[in-house]
Amino acid sequence: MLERIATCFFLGVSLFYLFFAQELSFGMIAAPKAGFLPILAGTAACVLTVAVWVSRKSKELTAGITGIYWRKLFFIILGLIFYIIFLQIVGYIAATVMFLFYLFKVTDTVGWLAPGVLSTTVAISFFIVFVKLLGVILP
Amino acid sequence: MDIVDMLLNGFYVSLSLSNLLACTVGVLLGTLVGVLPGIGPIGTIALLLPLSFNMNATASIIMFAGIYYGAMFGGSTTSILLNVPGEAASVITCMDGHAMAKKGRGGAALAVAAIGSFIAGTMGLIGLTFFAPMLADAALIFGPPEYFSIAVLGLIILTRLTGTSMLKSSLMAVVGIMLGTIGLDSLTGISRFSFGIDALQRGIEFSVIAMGLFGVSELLETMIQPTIKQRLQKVRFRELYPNQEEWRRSIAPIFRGGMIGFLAGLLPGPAGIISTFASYAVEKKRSKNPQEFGNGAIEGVAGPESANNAAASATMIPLLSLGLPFSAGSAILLSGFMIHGIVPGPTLINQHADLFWGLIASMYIGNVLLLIINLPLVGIFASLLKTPLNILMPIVLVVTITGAYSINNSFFDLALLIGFGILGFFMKRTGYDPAPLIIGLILGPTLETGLTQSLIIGNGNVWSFFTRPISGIILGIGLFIIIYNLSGWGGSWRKDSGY
Repeated sequence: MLERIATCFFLGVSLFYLFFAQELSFGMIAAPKAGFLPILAGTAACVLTVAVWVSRKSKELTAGITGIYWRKLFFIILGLIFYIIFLQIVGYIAATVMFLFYLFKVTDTVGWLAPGVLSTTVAISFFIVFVKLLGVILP
Repeated sequence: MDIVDMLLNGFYVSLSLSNLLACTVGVLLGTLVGVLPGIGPIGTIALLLPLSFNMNATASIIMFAGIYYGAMFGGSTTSILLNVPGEAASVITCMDGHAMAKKGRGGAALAVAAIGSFIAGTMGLIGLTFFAPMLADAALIFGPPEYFSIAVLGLIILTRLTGTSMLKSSLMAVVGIMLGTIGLDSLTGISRFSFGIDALQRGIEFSVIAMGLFGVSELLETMIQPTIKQRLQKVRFRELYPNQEEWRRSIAPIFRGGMIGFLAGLLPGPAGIISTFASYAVEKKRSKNPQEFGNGAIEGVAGPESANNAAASATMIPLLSLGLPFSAGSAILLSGFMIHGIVPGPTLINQHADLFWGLIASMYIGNVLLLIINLPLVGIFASLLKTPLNILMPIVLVVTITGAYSINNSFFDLALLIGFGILGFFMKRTGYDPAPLIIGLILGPTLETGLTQSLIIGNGNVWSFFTRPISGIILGIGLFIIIYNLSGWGGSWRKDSGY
């Protein structure tokens, strides 16, 4: 099932790409333009996706959904999205402390004090390393 | 200057304090990620790419190469002691390595793996030292059709060797080429698929995609697993001596593994993995006691562990001499070069001789360092497995995100990183290998430039690709592979449908 969804996703991407590739000039074979390779690649991707869909080899063994702890995965992805948003609003140190603490709890770290101290220490240490030592500008 | 003089000059470069330190850090990190399941060398290099901005180009590339080949050394430790491969190229070592450990010969297995890795790695390096300059010299006469042909052949072979469905691998390679077309067209200057987003005008940042597909996806995979306490086989220092019989049985597999690994490294695809399976099959076939394989045959450790190290050295040949990465690992190394504005290829040896020879010399030094640190410190590295992954992985994830942001100070890049991380996670789960996508993304611009320039020069004559001898031979090989595969599919289709 998951494999079928993945194939549908790639078909959607290929069709979307091919649709916008058509807006670029193809040129001629003696004078290819900006759309030459994109149209060829988009068409090839669509054909290959259909071939994957109908191929008997799609029955090959894959990990699929076995072993996916959906609850954990959902909360990790949610945390990642909110981290990017919070980075822009509250800045690096505060957002990283919250994000790390949240991840420690999602990944079943026991206790509250140790994860709290660790996330604060790590966030401040990274800020010092990146900003002071590596000269990176962080939000 | 001949090759030996230039190599000596390379040793002079690589023995400078900063480069020696970079080499040591690289091989230590490589061993560490080889030991720790959950994060591989490609992911680690991808994660460290942004941190190398402030480093000297030679030092950072020496460090990245150290991580790459160092991981091959470290990968055997967990395979032997824990029956858990630290990285993909050590999967086969679990079979006999762990069986030996259960019989109390884990120390001997570790020693043979380390010494075999050293010998075969050095064999691969000797090949790299002499073949890379020769190939680079030959490549100076290459024009757009030859580069197009090599890129096409590379993608064809790669899709055949990834181990997953060839159709899926081909699709991933094409998706990589599609992603490579985003941004300004180098020929016409027209913006393609940017949808008015400034960040897309400059094209998709390769290192962000690599960090997402290999780094974040691996972290996600590890973080969603339940915490498992590992049962580690203990090894004492005095046990790290194979007996005479074990030595006698290991010597020939080490050299055969070195040869197999070197040849596999020249081909596009996951050379480390392919070479270990090929070496294991050869050793089993040659053995007088094939029934021992799987129950603790030392040849099953010596051959594959030697092969993956020789392959790691050999994969550098097409990268350094042609500028074409034939594996995901060398594609990541290529981005290490590009981050510092250096383009590997035929002109690298002349334009950046210090870097080229310094890198090769550092690999000889790194190989010795790995042997020195791996045997006595095996206990320390193994004890790292006790580090709780639920603490380590969130911290690594924050480093990754911070590093990705630092490339362009762009939140858009962070969105791409996370998007491709999630995509990579599900791709691996559904049998879509991300390696062809990355190679397609890297080779895509070479392929497009080679194709369009050749067609313009040849006035649209497609046969010009075949009438040039080198290009013709390369494309002929590619066509042969396609026809061979199509005939295979046709045969199996007829069999399945009863025709």
